[in-house]
Amino acid sequence: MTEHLLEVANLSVGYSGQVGAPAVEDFNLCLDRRVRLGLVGESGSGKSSIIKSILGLIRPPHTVNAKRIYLDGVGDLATMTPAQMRAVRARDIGYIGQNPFGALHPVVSVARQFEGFLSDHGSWKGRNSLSEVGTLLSNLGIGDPTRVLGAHAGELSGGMAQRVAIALASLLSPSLLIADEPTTALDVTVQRQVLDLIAQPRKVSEQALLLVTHDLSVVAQYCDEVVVLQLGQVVERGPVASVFTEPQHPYTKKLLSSVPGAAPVLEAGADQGGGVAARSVRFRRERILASDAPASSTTPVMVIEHVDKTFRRAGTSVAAVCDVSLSIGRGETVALVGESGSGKSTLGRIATMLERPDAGRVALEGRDIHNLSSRNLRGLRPKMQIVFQEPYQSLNPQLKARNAVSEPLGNLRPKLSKTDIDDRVRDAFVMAGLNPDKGTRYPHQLSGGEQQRVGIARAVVTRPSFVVLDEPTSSLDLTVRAAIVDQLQKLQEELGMSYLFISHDLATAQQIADRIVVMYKGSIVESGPAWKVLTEPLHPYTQTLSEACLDPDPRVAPRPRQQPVLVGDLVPGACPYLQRCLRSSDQCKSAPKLADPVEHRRVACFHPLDATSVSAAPPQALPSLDELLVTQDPTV
Amino acid sequence: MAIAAEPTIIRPVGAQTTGTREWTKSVGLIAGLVVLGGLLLMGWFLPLRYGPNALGTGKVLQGPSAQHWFGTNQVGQDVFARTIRAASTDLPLALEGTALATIVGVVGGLAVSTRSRASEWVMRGLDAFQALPLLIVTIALVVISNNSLTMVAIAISLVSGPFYIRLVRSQALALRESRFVEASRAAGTGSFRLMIRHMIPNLRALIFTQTANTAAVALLVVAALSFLGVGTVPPTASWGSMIKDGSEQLVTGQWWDAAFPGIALFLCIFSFNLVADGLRARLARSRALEPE
Repeated sequence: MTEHLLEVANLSVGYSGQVGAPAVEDFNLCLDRRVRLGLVGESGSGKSSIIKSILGLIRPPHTVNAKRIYLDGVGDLATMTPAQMRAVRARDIGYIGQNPFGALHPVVSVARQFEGFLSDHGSWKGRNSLSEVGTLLSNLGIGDPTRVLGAHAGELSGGMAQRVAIALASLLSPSLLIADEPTTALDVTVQRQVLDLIAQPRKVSEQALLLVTHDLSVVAQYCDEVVVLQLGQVVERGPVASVFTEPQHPYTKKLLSSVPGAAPVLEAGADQGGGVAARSVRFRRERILASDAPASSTTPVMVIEHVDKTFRRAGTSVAAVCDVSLSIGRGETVALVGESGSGKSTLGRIATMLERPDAGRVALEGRDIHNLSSRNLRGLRPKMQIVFQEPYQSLNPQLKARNAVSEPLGNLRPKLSKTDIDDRVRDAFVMAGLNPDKGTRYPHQLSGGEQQRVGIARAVVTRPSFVVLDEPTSSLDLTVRAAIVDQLQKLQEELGMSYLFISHDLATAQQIADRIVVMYKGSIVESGPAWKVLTEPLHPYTQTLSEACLDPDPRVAPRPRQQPVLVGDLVPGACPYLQRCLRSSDQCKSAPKLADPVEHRRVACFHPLDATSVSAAPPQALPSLDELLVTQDPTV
Repeated sequence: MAIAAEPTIIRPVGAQTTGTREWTKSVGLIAGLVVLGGLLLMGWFLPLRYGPNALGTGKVLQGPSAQHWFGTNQVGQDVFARTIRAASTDLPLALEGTALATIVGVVGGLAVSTRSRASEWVMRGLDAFQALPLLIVTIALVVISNNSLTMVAIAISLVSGPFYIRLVRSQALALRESRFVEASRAAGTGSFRLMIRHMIPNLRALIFTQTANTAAVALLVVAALSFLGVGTVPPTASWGSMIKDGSEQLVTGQWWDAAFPGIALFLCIFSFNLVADGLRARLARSRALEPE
């Protein structure tokens, strides 16, 4: 029995008050030392329940039943008291959660938290321990450990806070590290840095990793074994290489085909039919090849010219959008990509006039709308619609789905007859891929995907010519995401709408868009055909974004990652990317203008990359946690 | 077009759970309504052996007996008759004041539910208004109006209105910035329809609960005013003035004259609070603004 590090036998988890099947049923797992195991599943698959029961965090009235949860060198966790489990959680199992700020105390400094943690477990040796913690933090890629140790959680960025949480979890060299969606709450550009820290192959230490994620690309690139869960049951398990190349269970196949893949793999797999994602990519590619140029020959549906927007609150001002110009042709999809705070959502709200620009021009179908009064604007609203990121919050909890969808029709003048409204609502439901019978449900009685379909039906019921899609899929499960993206594309073909698709993720953007526009700190840094922008980025920031896209094929090695550069303060007048850029020169102290070095492509950079330099960049990475654990043990 | 087969998850919320549990949740609400309704109906319709203002029905200051259940007061009036009859003056007066306060609170709260400069000024004005010693102001108003009962109702809305406005405004501000109101604006809905369709239904739970809370305060204001000799004044039976008169006999041991109207007042305020809590529990499931 001792050859496995962790052995879970016949684990079942039930929540009190829950109707139907238990959250987890008869789950078995064997995890060996050095192995990195990915636990994959959509929401409700029970993956969090499993790790919570291993950690002993599920308490009555909820029930955990297991024949054994055996951790080698410790014993059967299933029979331990809460007090014993507390010691186990500190010493033997390290836990990294999704929200790093949840792991850090908001009003106690980072240094004090390390002190408290170590003294609770009898390992605090005063100043010595603190300097060892500092070394660990700097090895985790924190440039200024003294500042971070003196800081409070609220003063840290998400990536920094997650690094501190990783340091806390690995301080006592646990033999098992459990990471629950460690990168989901972080910006894409930081995701890989964090994964490189915790999930590199184990060469030196014997630590095993249990990585819970919904992202198959992460598993493909960072795990040795995988367990696929559906509705509390294991549907498939095995080595990553074989499960990903020859999935046996239909659910695994469906999951794999839903991944918004990086280009080269789908190209290879396209002949076999592929999934939804592959199909749409092929459809896009054909269209782009057929038209060659972006659809700019006809009058653009949406024109944004030199738009500025600054938010002022309590004395400080934030330039959310500065001097952005963009035009979207009829039937075209433009994706707006950037990390949080890049101003992409603000631009989407300006395009639908939910936010008025401080300066610049916004025109819908050739007609200026930025200077219209609210009353005149109301008449034009049916022509431009928006679908929000949060499907539940965007629906009034007191309104049935049918009434939510019919609302825009009620604002049309001249008034429609009741039968007309009913017919068109019905059509909209069908167009959004929703059974019209669901119209009598309230939002909380619908699943996340169905809620978003109601949002889509509401947006298309007036047959708009322009729709802003503000991360419409990012809060949805993987398979649902693919279906929604597919539905949106079908709708576009049927109704000839133009989309502004806002996303933080280049892979998804590339899947749906004709053109990609990359924003950074309120400015456009690059734009071009979707295809080219992802595979041959010109701007160093786009390159960082494309490196963040992991390949869902374990056989394809991840694109080499540049050494991360830490973010400093914005220098007025300089290139906004200066603080993070590896290629900067003195020239970059003035802001670059958008230029077109290649046909159909624009980039705001004095030192744009060319296609060859991307692959030529040498891989540089920080030491992984695995190596750190051996050289760095503050308890010794 | 294919209809995507996605599993519908019906989350266990109150609306779906029925049966005994639902009943036990509402016990307080029902009990409160029964007590209040019973007192009000008795005040209006209960045939009384003695008139509430009849003098010399027996001897003065007699303890509770089979003849005078709650005893008699210092002028020989039947305390039971007066306590019951007072319900028919005090309760409707408190409810009128509550209705007025609710109108002021909801209309006012919605009107200032913007972040505009004007509504900020209105809110600062309310701050200043609430800094006034409101009970003294209301006493002055009622006295000047020659004990007009309408002025008592207005006084109640002055005491409870500002807080009500603040409460409605804070939730309305959050609602205005919610995604579904934004989605509705994007659909071209005008501000009036927005109010009727999206704001008020999501404020319903708050309004019901706060109205019941206000009623409790209103009854206290009515009693306090009449205790101080304004508003409903003798010979009209009123709990406040009865407690005032009875309190003079307490030192000499004749407790009943003050105790029974006191108990009635306590029962009513407690019932209003039960109703408020019951409504809160029942309407919580309307899930206004509840995050996923």
